Amino acid sequence: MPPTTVDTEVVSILIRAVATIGEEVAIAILGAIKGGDVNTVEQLSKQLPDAEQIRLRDEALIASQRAKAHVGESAPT
Amino acid sequence: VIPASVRRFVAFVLVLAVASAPASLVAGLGGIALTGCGATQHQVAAGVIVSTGTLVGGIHRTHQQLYTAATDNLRARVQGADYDREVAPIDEAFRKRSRAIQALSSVLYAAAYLNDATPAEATPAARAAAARQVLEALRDVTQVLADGSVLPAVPIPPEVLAVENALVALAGGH
Repeated sequence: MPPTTVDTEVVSILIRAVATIGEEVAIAILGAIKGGDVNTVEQLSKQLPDAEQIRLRDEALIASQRAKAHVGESAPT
Repeated sequence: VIPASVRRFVAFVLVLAVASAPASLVAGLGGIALTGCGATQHQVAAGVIVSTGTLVGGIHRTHQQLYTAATDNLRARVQGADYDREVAPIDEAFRKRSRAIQALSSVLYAAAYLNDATPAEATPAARAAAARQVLEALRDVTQVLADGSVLPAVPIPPEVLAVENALVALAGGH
């Protein structure tokens, strides 16, 4: 299972981004990061500056790799 | 944590921009730490013209590939909570590099701006002083990327080394 918490720096990026991308998209990005959905993060974050996209994509990759290590579990321990 | 040298150089660029650049450029530089390196090409060293966005994008891909390979190997060995525990230092190194790559985007833009600055925009002494700051920031970034203690080192492209050499020249050596 993916982690249930997200790096505080990522949350800060999304809060700053709300004015640009809107609340719904920001929440969707947050969900995609938590789910490790790298492709969705890449698509949804295209309106953000390059550096912030890098950070969000890397967090999604961390979650994606972690989720693969928890296949078959109901929750991370 | 963003290195102090990076913070100093960003502050310098903003000061330089406000002091000498046209209004449109100042507006653009307001987001240089985040947006300055899109698809725009800059001459960042004598004879070297690079798309900083492409350059940073390539480094970022390599950085992700190294992390994916390392975590795939780890997952082949351990799963679940054991993975979470053993991946922690790898994730920490990955995040540190991620921040360094963000800083690299800004450093390359600052180097390009310095390279293009005319004597009217910055005196040679001011430019040399600024080049030293940017050079320090660049070396901080490359040091993080080249640290192979947890993850394999990210190869530094020759364009980045060319920028470093150009900054050394602008800074008056060292």
